[in-house]
Amino acid sequence: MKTDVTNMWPSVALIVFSVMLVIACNSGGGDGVPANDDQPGVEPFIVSGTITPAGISAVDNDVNDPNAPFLANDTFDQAQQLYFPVILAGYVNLAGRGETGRSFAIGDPHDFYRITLSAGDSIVLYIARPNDTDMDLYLYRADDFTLVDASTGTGANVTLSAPNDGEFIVDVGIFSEAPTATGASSYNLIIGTAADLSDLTSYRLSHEFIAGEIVVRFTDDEVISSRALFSDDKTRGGGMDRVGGETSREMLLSFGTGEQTRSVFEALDLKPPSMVRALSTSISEAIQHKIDTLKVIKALNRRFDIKKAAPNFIRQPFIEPNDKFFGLQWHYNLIHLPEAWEMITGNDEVVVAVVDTGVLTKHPDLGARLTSDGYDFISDAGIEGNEPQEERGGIDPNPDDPGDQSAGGSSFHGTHVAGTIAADTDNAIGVAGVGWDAVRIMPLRSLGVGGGTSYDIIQAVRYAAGLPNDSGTIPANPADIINLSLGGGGHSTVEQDLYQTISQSGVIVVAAAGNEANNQKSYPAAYDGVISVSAVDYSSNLAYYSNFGDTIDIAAPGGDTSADLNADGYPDGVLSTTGDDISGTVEMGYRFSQGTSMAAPHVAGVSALMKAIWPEMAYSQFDYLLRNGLITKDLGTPGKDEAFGYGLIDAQKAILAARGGTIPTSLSVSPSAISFGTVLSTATLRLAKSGVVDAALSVRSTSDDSDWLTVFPDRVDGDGLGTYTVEVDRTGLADGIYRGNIKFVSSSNTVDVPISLLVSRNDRAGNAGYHYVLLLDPPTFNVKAQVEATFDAGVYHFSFSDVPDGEYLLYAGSDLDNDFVVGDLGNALGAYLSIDQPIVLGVDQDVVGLDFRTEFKINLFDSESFNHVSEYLPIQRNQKKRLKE
Amino acid sequence: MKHVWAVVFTLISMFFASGCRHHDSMGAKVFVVESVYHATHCLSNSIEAHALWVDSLAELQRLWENRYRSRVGGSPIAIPEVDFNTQGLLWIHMGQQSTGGYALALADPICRVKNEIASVSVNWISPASDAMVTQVITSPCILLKLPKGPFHSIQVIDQDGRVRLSEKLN
Repeated sequence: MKTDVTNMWPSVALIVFSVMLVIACNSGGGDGVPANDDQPGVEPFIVSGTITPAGISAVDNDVNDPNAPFLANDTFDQAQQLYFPVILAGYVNLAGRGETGRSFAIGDPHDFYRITLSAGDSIVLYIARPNDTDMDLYLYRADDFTLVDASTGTGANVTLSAPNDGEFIVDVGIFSEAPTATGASSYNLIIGTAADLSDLTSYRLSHEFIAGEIVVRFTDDEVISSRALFSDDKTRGGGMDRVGGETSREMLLSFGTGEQTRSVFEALDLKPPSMVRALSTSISEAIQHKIDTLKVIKALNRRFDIKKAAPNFIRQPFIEPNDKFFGLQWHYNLIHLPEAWEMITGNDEVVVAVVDTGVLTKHPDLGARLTSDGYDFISDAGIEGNEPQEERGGIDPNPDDPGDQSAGGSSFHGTHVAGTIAADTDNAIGVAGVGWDAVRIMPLRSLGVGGGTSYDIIQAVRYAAGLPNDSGTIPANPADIINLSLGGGGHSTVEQDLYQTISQSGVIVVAAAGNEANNQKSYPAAYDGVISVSAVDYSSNLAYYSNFGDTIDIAAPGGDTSADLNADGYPDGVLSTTGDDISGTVEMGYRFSQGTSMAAPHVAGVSALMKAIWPEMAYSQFDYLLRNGLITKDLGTPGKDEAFGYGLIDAQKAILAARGGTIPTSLSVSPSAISFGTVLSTATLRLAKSGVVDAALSVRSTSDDSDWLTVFPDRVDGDGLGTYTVEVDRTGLADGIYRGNIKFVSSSNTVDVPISLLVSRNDRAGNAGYHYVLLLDPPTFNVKAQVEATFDAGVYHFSFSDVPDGEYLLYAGSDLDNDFVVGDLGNALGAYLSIDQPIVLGVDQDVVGLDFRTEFKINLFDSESFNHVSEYLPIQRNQKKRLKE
Repeated sequence: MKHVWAVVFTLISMFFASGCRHHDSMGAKVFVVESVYHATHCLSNSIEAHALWVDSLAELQRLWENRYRSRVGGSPIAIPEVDFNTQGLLWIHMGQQSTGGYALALADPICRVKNEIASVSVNWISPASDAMVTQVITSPCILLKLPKGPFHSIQVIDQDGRVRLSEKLN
């Protein structure tokens, strides 16, 4: 907790002394008012003022500080009333854990809060000391105390959201079943004003998973794994059954209810699983089993020999083709492809050219999906591989892949790429292709033994696009999309010109970004007019090999064959069609592969589905949708970033965007919804024309549906586009949640904007907890004087009466955990003039009327070590009694 | 191409007759080595280049199963036939490569033994620096069969005479 202060003194001293002269000369500075100007230099002096907390701040009624007001909130009936939105500070501890204080002996493991929420409102718990205190959130209906959701995790924050409008009980509790190191921590609870921080370390009761089943990955250290409690021999002894897998990879463990659950809890040193059922009046055995499962997962994740434990989630495909190995194609669920298939499965009309090693034209899962006008553009006889004798020595119209190794062991790379785009789908064999039946593949061969040349690739690309080429022919139906899972060499203006020409003609060119795990530009992916695709793994992280950089446009699954995170017994690569020619003849089959080569065809396939539903879509429209986040799930830094471009391709969003087909002339309204909460009364909507075609569009009417809701134009042009003001009026409204709607009708489309409003008669006065006010010696930060503030109507009042002539820093804060320190995480802290700009008070006369703000220090960074020395201040022990229980 | 290798192998086999162990003009003992398998996608527990001496059927079966862990469907690929009483297998992995265009091939069917160190020659193939290549992660490997002989380690030498790998035998 204590930070190294030595490096901070120069900067602190600079701030302090830079303002010291000014303040000293102003006798109080800032808002301070000299009270006895006519008697300078007479000691002692008064320093007084007020401290204001934020209006939405609140504090737990039963903190550990014995000086703070007390009201128990340990049960449903005692639940402390909160008002939305709220930022709260609190403290929980197990009996005998934490600092001595009010709750040390008897413990305070749970705090209950009552609050009215709207569907989707977020509840985020930030734990001040996550390294040694494990806390969870439970959400109950307030009327019958039915458990509606729970969130468990082992990180610094835990998140829930309200499933519907209504009054709820929020239970903040220590994971008390486990023997934790400290079992006491301050915390902050933010309801309604924070983003949903769902992360991989937090699991919710509302998630769909199989009760009693856990997917476990042991640590890679074989020695440790061999000693693991849940290794082969001991799994059953620990109370769990091994359903599948093994210690060297993912293992599926299970346990039943009743005695078996108790056995598992005992093996993990957990207390018997009874707490939640005792609290809730209506919890079923099935729900209890799910809760117990989450607790076991949490306990496992805290073990040294467990790398990761997770629920066995139930994944529900929207539409599931009957292809034998579809269940292994995890990469399709990752991009919401089944949801997209609900809307479009195709009609054979879109052509995707695969410029690659050729395609195994006799593959049973591909043959029917190929066009008849493929071509072999390999012109160098030296790299033709096992090509038939009669076809050797130049280009020919046979795109079949004869293999790229002279004696077997070929890659059949083009077959793999083609299968991802358009493997025969729902045919009961093999794998599914992204394009279902929407797409046909134009197989073009430009790569042979050891690769190929840019010239041969150019010829294939020209052919695909219907441009003159060395074959002397052009296809009757040129390709709509061209996939290039290849790269190498350097920049060529000839190629750049070609790809710009092709993209301007409307053809979409998709290329792999490269596998060197660096930000070097890879061509053709980095050319203008080419969609550059980086790769993600099963967890949607940038794949370890994937290139990145400012030329990346989009990300897609490329896989990671070194992992098996989904515990299906196979590497987490991309599964697609291939062949094996080691025996001398080609055996058709399927293989998991990894690379940006595998990512690009996902994008090509989705763009083909889009093209099937919106035939007029050209490269410019696709690029527009991409740049506006309409076909991706944003990953990494919001907006475009170097790892994922505009995000991970999302087939469902892409089809929805394409299905509109009205992008050039549609009206867009931002934001798409407004939540006024309890305080706001006005907001602004911005109406604009979206699209790439400069077509006419005008707003024809604007309306609202509620008496308390008004919308009127603010600054608009002749077409009604511009900004509109939205006002709500709470006068005469009873306490509650109100919902309304604003409708904009344009010449192109209609846009509805949902509005929500909360009315609460509670006059909000913030409370940031019992406050200690300190005068500090500026150079040393030693406490020179301390008083305790009085709290009245949302304002703290303080007054020092015996302040000697001198210079001081003025700080104030709470000590919820009673550790005799203010300013540590979870607590409130303020400084005059502000925390960001503490200034030195020169006191040579009374200084009154000082006012500054106090606010909670929330553990936003999952770290307990970022405290600044000036924000970590000891309270003098002789002025605050530590209770000895 | 396969026919050419078959003729070469037959001639060499005839020349060395049974046992395949002779001496060359430099006095080194020589053996015949045979390539029994190679591929561009070989799963391995290591992403670095390495060699592995396989001297039991159980070990071969374990490695073979791991090799085909990334493959589903299709006919099973027959495991190479080896008499582990008199023969062993050297499994050479090139290590993980960022693109296609990489490969391993047996360069010389003769293995030379000097100072109890056997040397096998392979072509360690990389794509030309300006070649356009597939953007798939590859892990080329080759499986060589050779008689058990009076050597305690095996060196893998590439086409430039560089010792790429060295594997000590138990």
